[in-house]
Amino acid sequence: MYRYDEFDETLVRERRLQFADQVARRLSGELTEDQFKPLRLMNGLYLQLHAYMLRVAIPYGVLNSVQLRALAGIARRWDKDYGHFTTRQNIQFNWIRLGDVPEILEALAGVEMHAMQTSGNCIRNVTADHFAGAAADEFLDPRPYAELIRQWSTLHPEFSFLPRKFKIAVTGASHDRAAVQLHDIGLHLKPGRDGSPVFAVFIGGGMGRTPFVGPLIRDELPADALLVYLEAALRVYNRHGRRDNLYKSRIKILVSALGADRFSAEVEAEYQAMRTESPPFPPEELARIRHYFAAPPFETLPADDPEFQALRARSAAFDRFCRTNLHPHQQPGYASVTIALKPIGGVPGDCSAAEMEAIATLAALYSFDEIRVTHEQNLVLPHVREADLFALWEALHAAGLATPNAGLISDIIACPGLDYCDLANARSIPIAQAIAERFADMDAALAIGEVKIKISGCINACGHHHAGHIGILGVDKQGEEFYQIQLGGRADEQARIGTITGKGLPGPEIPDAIERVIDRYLALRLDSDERFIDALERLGRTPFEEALHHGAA
Amino acid sequence: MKIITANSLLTGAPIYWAGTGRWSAELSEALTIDPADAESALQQASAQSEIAVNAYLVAVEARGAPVKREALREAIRAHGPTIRPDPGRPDPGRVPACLPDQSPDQSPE
Repeated sequence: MYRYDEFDETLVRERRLQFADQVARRLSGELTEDQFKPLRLMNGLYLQLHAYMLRVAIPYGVLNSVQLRALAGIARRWDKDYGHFTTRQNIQFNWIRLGDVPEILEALAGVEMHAMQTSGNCIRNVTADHFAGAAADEFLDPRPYAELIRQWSTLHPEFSFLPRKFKIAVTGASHDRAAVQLHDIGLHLKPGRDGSPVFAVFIGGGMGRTPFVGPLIRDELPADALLVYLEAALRVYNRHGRRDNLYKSRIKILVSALGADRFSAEVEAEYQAMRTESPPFPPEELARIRHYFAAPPFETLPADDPEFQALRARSAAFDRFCRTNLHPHQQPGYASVTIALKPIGGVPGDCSAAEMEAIATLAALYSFDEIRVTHEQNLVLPHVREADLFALWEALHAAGLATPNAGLISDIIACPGLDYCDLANARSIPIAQAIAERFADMDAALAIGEVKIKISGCINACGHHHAGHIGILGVDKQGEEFYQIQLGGRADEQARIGTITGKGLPGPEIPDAIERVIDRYLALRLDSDERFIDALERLGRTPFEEALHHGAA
Repeated sequence: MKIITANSLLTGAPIYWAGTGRWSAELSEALTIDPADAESALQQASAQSEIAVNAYLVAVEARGAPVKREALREAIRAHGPTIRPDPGRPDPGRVPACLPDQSPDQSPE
């Protein structure tokens, strides 16, 4: 993985010292809250319902074991023994004291981490496919490009005061696991006509109050022109994006107002003008970055380890885990393992310090020291030998981390909601817990198959409810929590915004309503290979909406 | 009636205005204020920016419990998250459970 060079080190150190001084000046009264607030936000420090919340950047969701241990240490020393992995592949600490932040940033800097650009109207932490560099369906590892974007966008003076926040996601695989079409800019790295790498560039996607699937603005952008093109797109946004109305300030509103064709033409004109004066980034720089993402020293192994297959045949529980929590690897004899942070009754994305330390140890033992954070609020060990999977599973099981539900109905995305968040209108986590408990039988959940439930506690959609096969949005109705249900959203290469169904339901009715929808699906599906989303698209939402709201099974 | 609440500058924790110059961590110690005096009291409280951040008024019933829209939000602020009693503050049982079969003091994992 990427290691800081002297520029990175200097930048992080100087920024840390600068913020420590700003904190001291706030505590001494030299800075007012109005002066201090934008400064703390630029360093990822929010004020939530119960305490300060520090959001730490995990670039494109990649961690090593030392970094994960450092996060565990922060949870233990300065928080309440846990952290919360988010849909932005970051981690949030919920119980931070202002005066501790300089020390926390020092601890982060010690392991090449920081909290810059995790808030504010700038280019936020770039996200990526969590199986990058490992997935069997990948054309090219997107992480070197993600790192290039990180370096280019970090404290970029032209893009530090954008009309609104800006999120970029990258994938290099045919199946989109990074929700690229639901980002301000989504990049799909793929082979061009001559086989050389090109990007499909989607611009103007997003969720929130006004959700859009991003239109394809440029196909087959030569990969070495990426930064020039991004700069051209950001310039058009900086120039024309609205600053007069917070609700209309995201690039998706600009793209929608201009129309994709006109927006594309504007960016193209800017790009062509810039190309003459801004050459593509030096190939040696990309080569230097790519070197950090070289494949680990894999062994040459047979595709199906016989011992692994024998252990699966012998242990039903191990086999059960392998069916849901393994992902095909590009290297024969290896697999990627999802550690679902979704124990039944737990809080989606929460991870205790002890669990982080256990995972760090297992990553060092079994996965070339690498861990990934997924936007679905799980962790991944990307490169595990099939021959090690049984031992890994036993260790995960012992640590309470082997819930075999990755991709199933209880693998729910939920934002912190009104239990923590200052912006929320309703609670998300108790709804996620109640649904997961309703579908706690793992064999029944496996029979149901893939269902993506995503829950947000307000219209800002941190819980990606617009992209859930079943999306749930918490609303406040005269002091009572109600939940609107959407059907048919998806975040993959066929991204779609879900459709709102009927009126909102009170929280206690949600598990029954979801169960009725699932029962209807089981009754109507062609066979067990037809997933919930496929059946929904084949049949339309009417039968499911009927089950949801009229209780007719 | 109204009360004034804010977040502590040092910890970010919810605090309640208990009268001139005094803030308390306990909702029960919040001073109830006649609505006619609320704005001037809020100005006084907001002036203590070395202690309190984001001070605002909350409508309460006669016994001091927040009402209407703010009731649930303020209950969660006062007593901690409803889903993890361990990091919360005392008496999570006072927070309305979201779901009837959910016990607020149940361990999450």
